[in-house]
Amino acid sequence: MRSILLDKQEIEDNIFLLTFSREEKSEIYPGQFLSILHKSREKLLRRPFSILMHTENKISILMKKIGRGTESISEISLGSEVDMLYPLGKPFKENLDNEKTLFVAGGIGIAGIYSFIDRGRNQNIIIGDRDGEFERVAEKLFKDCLYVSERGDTRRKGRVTDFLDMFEFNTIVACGPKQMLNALKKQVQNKRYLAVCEEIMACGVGLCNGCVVKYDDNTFRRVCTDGPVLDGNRIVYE
Amino acid sequence: MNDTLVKIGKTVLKTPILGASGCSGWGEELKCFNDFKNIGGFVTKSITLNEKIGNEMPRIMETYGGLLNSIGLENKGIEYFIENILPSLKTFECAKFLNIAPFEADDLKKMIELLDCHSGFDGYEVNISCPNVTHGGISFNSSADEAETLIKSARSLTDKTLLLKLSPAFESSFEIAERAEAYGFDGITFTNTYIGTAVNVKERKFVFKNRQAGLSGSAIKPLSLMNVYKMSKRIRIPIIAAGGIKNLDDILEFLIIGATAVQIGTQLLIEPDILTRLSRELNLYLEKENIESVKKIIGSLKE
Repeated sequence: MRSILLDKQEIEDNIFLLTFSREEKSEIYPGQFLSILHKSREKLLRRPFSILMHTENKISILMKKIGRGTESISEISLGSEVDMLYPLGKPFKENLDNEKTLFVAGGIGIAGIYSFIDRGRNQNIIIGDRDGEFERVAEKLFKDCLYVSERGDTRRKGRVTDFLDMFEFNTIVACGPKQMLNALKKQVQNKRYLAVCEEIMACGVGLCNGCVVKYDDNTFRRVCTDGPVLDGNRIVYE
Repeated sequence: MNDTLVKIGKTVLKTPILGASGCSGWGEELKCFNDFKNIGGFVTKSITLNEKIGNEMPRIMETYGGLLNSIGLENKGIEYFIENILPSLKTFECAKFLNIAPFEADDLKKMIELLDCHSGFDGYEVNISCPNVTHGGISFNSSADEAETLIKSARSLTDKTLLLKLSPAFESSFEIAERAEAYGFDGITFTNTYIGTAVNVKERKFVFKNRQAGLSGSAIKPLSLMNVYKMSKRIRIPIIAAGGIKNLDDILEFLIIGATAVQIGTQLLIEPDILTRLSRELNLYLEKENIESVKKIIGSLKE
């Protein structure tokens, strides 16, 4: 599908909020993602991104520039055509009880939890990063969240897992690095744990079985079509 | 309408463009993006006699212009396939080949015996060239005599179209193809991925748990083109070429050099609707160039 890049904001160094025209009108649910065909000749595969926000005519992503593929996407000029596939991933159609749900994101994992959050209400949200690089992003996207940083210059110093006790919840929705998802698993054994998984993907549409995570019964789940929302308590993190 | 039909064994392909095994899923996923009435067809993921859970992560890694994969033939085994996947395959209006991967010498016989009474598919692509499993499989490809023990009885087990998918990693592939032709195989799929690897510098370890992985994508196209050329000098049965094909020019190169049909693998992961698009482009090309049949292109290399 062809979309047009409508807006590009570099919120922080190498962190971009990109907004595209939305041509495909299939309903979009939390947890779903899109994939972008980029022009880098060095790297071939599309790059997958959580759908951050969408309206009838627009669709946006939050992207951290980390390599050739994302670099090439960051260089797309406004008004240019972009080849995107969406919505991808298994839709999450449940309504979560806002009072009892804790949302946790590590770094660019913000993009993975954002679509689950009812922005009209106050929510229980913890955003963590390593060096303070997501502070401004958190401020911009959430009217109220607990922002913590491992080494950044912040009031709350530490990891997201150091602050879980501040909240009462029976469900956790989390997205971030595997170490974070694993650390959370150890602390939320008796709660519902929805892990919004990120993985390097080849196709993103279920053709190749390249993007799997292992469950505790020694079987694999595809992040692209069984997920990205998977049972965080059953995933075996290495 | 120009003629894009080609025939491999008993199977007529509406266009000489197929989705490659491993990149076409089980057809269901591909159907969301392609009009099956207007494409050649596809080859399923590998089916093994018993379930294989597949390899540990990481399973893929991009390289310069290419893709390393180490999926490891993940599938639920032949019985699950027959019960749960084959029924939907029957409804697809294009050619369908089952990629079957033997591990022991008698696996192939067992698998064809279980499958052959069923309808809903056109034939088999016998895979002895997957670089991502540690035993069986590819060892059949490493020597013509080993391969012979496996392929010699296949023809007596089925009337369906019989293809053999071979690896570019072994010189023996050419002799195996000759013997397969003698034993009545209908075509050779060539090439599978090239054996490659990658090292994690920080950890000083192989990136892949299996050490090696299969390299595909644009990076391998010139290598496969040469291999298909060499293969075309050795056998007369159709060659179904694969290896880094991503656009119409690539397809034409392979057809000119001697392939009867082509398979798209890695590029299908990137553009899941590419089978439909390239089939259309091939039609337009024949029309524009006033070529009445795609068969006029096959093997038309001037030397």
